[in-house]
Parts: sequence; C-alpha cells; structure tokens
Amino acid sequence: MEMRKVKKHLRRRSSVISYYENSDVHKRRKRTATAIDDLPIDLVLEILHRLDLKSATLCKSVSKEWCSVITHPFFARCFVNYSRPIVDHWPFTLLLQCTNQRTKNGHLLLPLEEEPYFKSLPYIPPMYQEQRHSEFNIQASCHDLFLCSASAFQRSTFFYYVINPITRQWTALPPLPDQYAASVGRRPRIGFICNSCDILLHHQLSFRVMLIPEFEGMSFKVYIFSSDTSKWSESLVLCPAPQRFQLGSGSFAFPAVPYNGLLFWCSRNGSLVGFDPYNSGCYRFFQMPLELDISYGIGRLGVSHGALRISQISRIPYGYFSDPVLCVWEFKDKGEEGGKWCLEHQLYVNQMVSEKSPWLTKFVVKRHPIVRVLAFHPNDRDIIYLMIHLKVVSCNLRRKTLEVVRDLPDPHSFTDDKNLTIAVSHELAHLWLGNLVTMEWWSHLWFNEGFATWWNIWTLFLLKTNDGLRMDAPEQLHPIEVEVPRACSIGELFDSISYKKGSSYIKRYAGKNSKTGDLWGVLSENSDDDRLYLYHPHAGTISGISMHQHYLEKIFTSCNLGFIRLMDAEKEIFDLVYSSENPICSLSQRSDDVKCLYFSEGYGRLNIWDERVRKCSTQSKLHAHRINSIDFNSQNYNIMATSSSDGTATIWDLRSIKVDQPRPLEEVGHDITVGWEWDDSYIIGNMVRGVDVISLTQKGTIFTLQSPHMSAVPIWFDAHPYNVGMVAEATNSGQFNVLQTDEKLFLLGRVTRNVD
Amino acid sequence: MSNTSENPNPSSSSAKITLKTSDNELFEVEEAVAMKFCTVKQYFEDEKDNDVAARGSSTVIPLPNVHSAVLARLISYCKKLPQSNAVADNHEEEETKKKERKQYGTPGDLVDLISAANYLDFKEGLEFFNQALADHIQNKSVEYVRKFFGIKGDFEPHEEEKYREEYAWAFEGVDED
Repeated sequence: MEMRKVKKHLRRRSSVISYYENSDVHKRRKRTATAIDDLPIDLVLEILHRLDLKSATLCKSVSKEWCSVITHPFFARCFVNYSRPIVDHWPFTLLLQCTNQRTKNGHLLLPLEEEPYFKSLPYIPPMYQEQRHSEFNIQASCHDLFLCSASAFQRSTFFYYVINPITRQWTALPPLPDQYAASVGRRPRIGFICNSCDILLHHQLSFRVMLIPEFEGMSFKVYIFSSDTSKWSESLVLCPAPQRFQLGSGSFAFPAVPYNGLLFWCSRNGSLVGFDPYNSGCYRFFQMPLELDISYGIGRLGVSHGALRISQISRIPYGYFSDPVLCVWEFKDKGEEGGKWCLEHQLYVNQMVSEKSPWLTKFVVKRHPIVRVLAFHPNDRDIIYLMIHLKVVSCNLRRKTLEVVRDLPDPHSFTDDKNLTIAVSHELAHLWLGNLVTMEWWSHLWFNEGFATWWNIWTLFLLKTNDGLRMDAPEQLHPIEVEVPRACSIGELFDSISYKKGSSYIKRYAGKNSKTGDLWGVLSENSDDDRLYLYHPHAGTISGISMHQHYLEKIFTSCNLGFIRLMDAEKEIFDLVYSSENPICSLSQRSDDVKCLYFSEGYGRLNIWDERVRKCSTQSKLHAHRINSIDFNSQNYNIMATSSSDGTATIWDLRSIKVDQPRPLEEVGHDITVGWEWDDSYIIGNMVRGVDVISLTQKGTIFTLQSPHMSAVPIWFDAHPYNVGMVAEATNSGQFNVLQTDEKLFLLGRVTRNVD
Repeated sequence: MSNTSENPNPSSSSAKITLKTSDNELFEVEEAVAMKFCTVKQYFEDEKDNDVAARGSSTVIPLPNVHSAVLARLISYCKKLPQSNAVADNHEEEETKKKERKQYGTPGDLVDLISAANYLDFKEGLEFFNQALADHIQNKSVEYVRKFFGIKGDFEPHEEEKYREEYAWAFEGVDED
C-alpha cells in the first residue's frame, strides 16, 4: 500500500486557501522582535476583523501577507459576522444635496457633522469627469451606498452609477436601452435597494434599481436594473390601488424608501405602494393615514427605528400666516393593530422651544416660518430633522424642543428658501457593510461562491456516489468522467450570478475502483488545465469525505475498515487520526466549527472527534443500525439530522444529547440519506426514482419530486438555497436533474461512463 | 474506592487541579478555573473516564505549549473574568472595557497570551486578548502597526504608493504615535 509517512504533529495553519495558493507566502519572513508571525493566520484574522473599516483597509498595506488575508472574501464574512459594539446605534450622517434651481449647477452636499470621509464629495467617477457641465445628483441611497446620476449638459440621458462614498469605489450601470430611455423623463421616479445586510443569508450581494417612467392608469411599466444580470429589464405592473393612483412628480419625486425589502413610493394623496424589485409581480399597498389632509401635500416618507413613517406639516386654521402643525404617523406592521397607520405626534411648531438658541424660540412664535421635514432619525424615534429659515434643526418630538444642527452656508448663492431644493436627504450608515460592495471583493465573492458551490456539490457527489455505486454494482469497475457541458446552465436556472461567474466551464473527473480500493480526485480549480489527482488513502471502500467550507485544504476521509484520515490537500499528506474496529459509515462537519468532526461508527454510534486534543470527545448511540448520513441545520448548527438503515431519519439537538440515553427531537420514517434544506422545517431524502421533501412540522413527506426521466436512484441532491421546492439531484446512471414542485424537470448534464 | 474517602474536599467546586507548564512549574488551580480551558477539561474528563481512582488533586495535567509566566497571567485573568463578554450596550460600558483591555501590556505579551489561550481553547480569553490587540492598532498609521508587530513592509515603494492613493480615505486622520 502506497502511503506517505505522515507527520505526527500537524500544525494548524492557514484558514485561507488563496493565501497559501500564493507560493511567495510560503517563504516566511525573517523574524524581528515579537512577530505576529508566530500566530497562526486564523488568529491574525480573528484580530484583524475586529478593526473598523478604516483601520482594516489601512492594514492592507502593512505587508503582502496581511493584504492577501484582508482582501480575501473569507475576511469579509468574518467582518460582517462580527457583532460590533453598539450595533443599535449605527452612526449615520444626514447628507443634504442642495441645488440652486436657477443655475441648476450649484451643488452642495452638506454632511450634518464635520465628517472627514466626505471631503471628496461630490465624487464623480473619472469616466464622467471629462464631460463638463455635467449635472451630478444623488438619486437614492440604501445602507451606505448611493445611486448617483450624471448627465451631460442639456441632455436628457442619465448615466447611473452606484458609489460607496467612503471608500470611493463605484460601479457604473449600463445606459438605459434606447427604447426605455425615450419614455424616462429628466426626473424619473427612482428606487434603489441593496441586500448587503443579508449577505450571509443570501450568500451574494445584489442591488436593484427601479425606474417608473409613468404612473397613471391601471397598469404601467417599470424598468428594473438587476446587478445579478447586469441588465435592465422591463416589466408591466398592474396597478394595485383600488382607485386612481398618482405618484407625485417634479419636486415631489422623492426616491423610493426601502423598507422590508420593498421599495415604497408615496402617492399624492398619501397612500403608499411598495414594489418588490426582486420579484416584479409582488407589491403591497397601504391606504393613507386617516387624519392626513392631502391639501397640504406630503412632508416626508421615511424609516425610523425600523418602522415606516410619514410626516406632514399643515396649518390650522387655514391661511398662510398661521401656525404650522407637525404630524407624524407610524405604520404598525405587526401586533394587534397590524397594517395600520397610527398618529404618533401632533404638535404646533410655534410651541416648541430651543434651549440653546432663544432667538429660534422667538422666531417660530412670531414669524410663522416655512417648515420642511428633512428626515427622520434612523435610530431615535423621537427625533426628526426640520429645515427652518435656512437652518437644519433637530426636533425632539417628545420634549418639544428644537436645536440648530447647522446652518446652510453661503446664503447669498441661494437667495431664499424657495430657490433651494433639498433634493435628497440621506441617512448614511457608516458601516463596513457597504464596503462589501468594494468591487474587488465583490468579484472575489462571486468567483468564490461559484467555486465553493461546485466544490460542495463535488464533495457531496463523491460522497453519495460511493454509496450508490456500492448499492448498485459493487463488483464493477467504474471510473467515471463527469462532464458538465456548460456550467452556466445551472446558473441560469438558479438565476444567480455567483454560479455563473465562478464556473464558466468546469470539467472534473472522479474515479472509483472497488477492486483495488477507492480512488478519488481532488480537482484543480484552474479550468483551462484540467487535472486529476488520484489518491489512495485507504485500503477499504471510502465511506465518507468531508471538507469544511472555509478550510478547503483539509479533507477528512473515512473507510469501512474503520479508519479516518485527515488529508492536507496542499502538502498531500494523509494523517491517520482515528482508527476503530468498526466501520465508519458517514462523516460531517459543522460549518461553524472547523475543529470537530462528527462521524458514525459501527451500529448507530455517533462520535465527535476534536482536532485540538486529537481524541473523540463524545460518543453516543443514536440508532439501532448504521448511520448513513449526518447533516446540520444551516441556521442552527446545534440541530442535526441523521438517517439510518434502521429506517428512521431523526433530528437531534446536540446541546441536549445525553451519552447513555439520547432523546430525539423528531423522528420520521425514512431511510437511505437525508439532508437539511431551506429552513428549519424541511429535510429532503431520497428514495427509488424520486426525492422526498419531508416537512418536520407536518411530520411526514409532503411531496415527492419525481420524473419519468429519472432512471435510477438519486444518490446525491442539493437544494436551491432559498427557493423552496427546487432540488438538484444526480443519479448513479449519470444524470444531473433539477426538479421543481410543478413537476418540471431539467436535464442539466450527463455523466459519461468509461470503462477503463 | 478508598481514594475518594481520603479526599479532604469531596465537593468538586473546590477541588484543585495541577497543571504543569513547559518549564516544569506546577500550578494548583481551582477546578472551576481550570475547566474554563477546554483542552484541560477534555483531558481531565478523559482521565476521569479511564481511571476512576485518579481524581481531584492527584491529577497532573501537562501543558507543554504554555510557559509558566503566561499561564500565571491567564489564571489571574480567569479569576477576575469580566462579567460578560457580550456586546456592550452603551458607550460608557464600552469605554470601561477598553480601559480594562489596555492593561494587558505589550503586543509581545498579548501574542503569547493569545497563542496560549488558543492552545488551551479558552474562548473568553481569546476573545478578550484578540480585542485588546485590535484596540492597539485601531486607527494607527501603517508604520506604527509594522513597528508594533515587528513586521517588515514587503511592498515595493511604487506598490505602496498605489495603495495609499487608492485608499486615501483610510490614511487620512490616523492617530499620531
């Protein structure tokens, strides 16, 4: 048996693959004094992701090693995941963009506080800078990204770009197709939404820009730009409003307010309509608040403390020289009053006092000033920002106080209130999240997601293939060639850029030879140069392969003779980590814990092996027969599903498993293999010519995905990350299929068999 | 067995565990403290399983990767472990925590503490010392960070210049020291 001598002590080193792919880094630098070099790189990562955005970026230029660590998408994940102190009070900046209406070009951006990051605003990307007289506008904001537009002088076409004003990184949107551009006026209703907050949920970043050229009648067109496809598309929306619904235009064309994943526009009469730009058929409609008097127009729509709010300034009694009344409504989306506007505040502006500037108290009493609502405080429900007499004033609604936040400078260039349009006021959260849209990382992430997906599929495929082949034809020779003709077809089906980007063409091989033991391949990710690595780690049949998604270079393999080996893919070393007299039937790792390996041994025993002590820490007997699969819930890693040849699939809570008397959370009858999918309530399992979707809440199989095209037992399956009911599967006859609940089936690829 | 009855402190909370460091010093620590180190805990439990007689103070657990000076500091940290490592609710709390972290000395010490805490799988400690180290380099210049960690910059001057240009905003307004 050919096997290299294994190093006794494996030093824990890299957690970042690409870091070690860079061969330069192997040469460790000379040590000076107390070098942080002494720490394994995963600990350095631990330290660096605690920095703030600025310091982390700065640390990129400390050394090449640090740069490669910080630039890696894994770092971005850690960074976002790390709960920074005081998350409830995200810093924000109110940014005002003022336009002199006469000259059209006096743009002023006024951050509320002295803010060094904004020195360079308005930042116009180089490609637009040469077009002089171009009109620069911030159109909308979401999290800490801006959607900006630039247009050449006297021309109606806009160029849109998305910019992170702090990092000054940006991406340009392609121009609107001509046929769309014609119908879009100079001030289209625009909405911008990005999901950077949910990156961990969606595993990819995306944003949408939505333009509504005309909004009248029973149906209208919308143009949506999707960052996933990098394309504009047109869709027709049926007017959701029961009566005629009119969006404001002109100076009322505020950008849509992103709330709960929808983009909300306010109509002239105060009712709201929210569209889902990710799913163009989806919308919500709210009636206007009962007390709202439409004759005064709408002050401002916004979000404060996670709730939608509308404000209005009205005057009672009617007449110009009367006292303005400020009303604020909040939309109660949850609870007993669900789906209702509630009047939260109603107060006379001239009854408010200013402690620090007594003149302001007098001013609001005597001068009947024009008051505008600029914005809601994003975190503090009691604070609202107003503009009174060319000053930005913060108003505490509960204490009825006013404080001047800042003056608008240079009043001479804006002769009076009326010439000054506050086009946009943005709340801007200074969070690293936005920096995830640094284009560099973005592309990395895309690439890596694509890669990781394939890698996972591959692992699964190998794992289950062995099972399947063993069941089917144990004595035959099966070197298999897996060819995925165009990997992007999967990407198209799943509508996800990350699949496409990472795997434009992937060709991989696997081999199994049950006579001489098992062979398996570790694939090079270089798609131009397909390489097949064959390893021969075990004398017996390989029963499981497990690889942690963040530590791809470490691969556990187990065999039915009772050995577990840990392979270092880079050094090509197989380290024997566990041996037993009983067969090892399945392996798994929790994605939040790289140091522990979960495996089943013999008749229904589950062991947990800890890499740090290199021992089994826990053993418990879960099933009466061998355990065929172990899988962890993707949302709660303490919840584990096992399936066993004793005919049950069982859910366990790892926190409460007792060694002698394990008690399952749930048990459903199912054999072969199961895995967690979608969310807490579903698992899927396979059966003869079909894939079962089992709901835990309904305690049983809710539907079976089947197809006449499916010719054999599906041995590998993976579900669409968030589209419940869509499953990809592979059979041991060499087909890839995608199954949906509506019984559509797509043949994705075919495995060709060669008998070697 | 008879050993159990001889044990003067049968209650496990006050039982002592002896740890042996790399320089062969022996530390007698309370079980509650030692159990914070998962590696020790694991070892201890395995021992207990293997040999029922070997309990309490009779166990000596070797820690070949930890120096006595470092272990002493870790134990003292353990004893006055902050109430919670949870995210601070307000600014003041965060500030006091920052001050507390500042006391843990030079980067060299911290690096030692971090590797020891990592080896011992002492989660709270690791978290704390990592944060302490992060505090040290927060908003500092590149030169400072390099000096602090003893890292030599291996960028070519033009490469570094490019970085400074590209991320100009990150280089503005760093602390002077």
